[in-house]
Amino acid sequence: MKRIVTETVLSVILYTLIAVAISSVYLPFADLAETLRENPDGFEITINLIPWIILVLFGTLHMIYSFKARNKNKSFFTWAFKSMTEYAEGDEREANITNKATRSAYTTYGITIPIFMIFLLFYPLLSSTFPTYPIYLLAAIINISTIVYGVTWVREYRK
Amino acid sequence: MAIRNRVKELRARHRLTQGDLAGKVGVTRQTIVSLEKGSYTPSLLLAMNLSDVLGEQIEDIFYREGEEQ
Repeated sequence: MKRIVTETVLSVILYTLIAVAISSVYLPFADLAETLRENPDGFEITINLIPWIILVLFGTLHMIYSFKARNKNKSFFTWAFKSMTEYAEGDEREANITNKATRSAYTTYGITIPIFMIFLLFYPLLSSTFPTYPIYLLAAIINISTIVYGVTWVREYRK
Repeated sequence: MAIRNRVKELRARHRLTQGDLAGKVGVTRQTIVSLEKGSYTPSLLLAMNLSDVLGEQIEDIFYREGEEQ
């Protein structure tokens, strides 16, 4: 159970860092598009690498933790390509709990995405002060679903 | 309708700890805890493994609520 809580927290931090890193290049890319429109022959772009360095460092540590903490009966291929780090399938009960938690997370997508589509209507009002608003909305959707997954998993595990 | 079981009683009769039984049937100790509390209904495969280890027929280990033997 401790592993699932840790993985859930790490995933939420990772998704947030991804949103911060992508947001950090949004304005430079917008400037680049403007420059290319005005002067198609040459361009210049300045990107803040600090969010990307933090993301790579955190992502590497997360990967090492997840690999070490994985179920030992899970092959490297399955761990790397066919599974999420939050999944726990050590025995049939854990697989059952993972199924229920995944179902809750999926249901959460069905609720949050339409609501967040409505939030996108406010983008024209916020675009000048908060241009990366849609990126953070997407991060919020996946973070909410990840938290729902973790909470459901812990609740079911304690039954 | 809930399914009850006699796993705790039979495990004690065989002088097995929850960890021992879990190891013999290939699940985690937490699964045995949930099973004994009655909050988890096992798969047919796990029920058959428990039946082998505890030396009882499946229907002698598991019963419907209200049909105590």
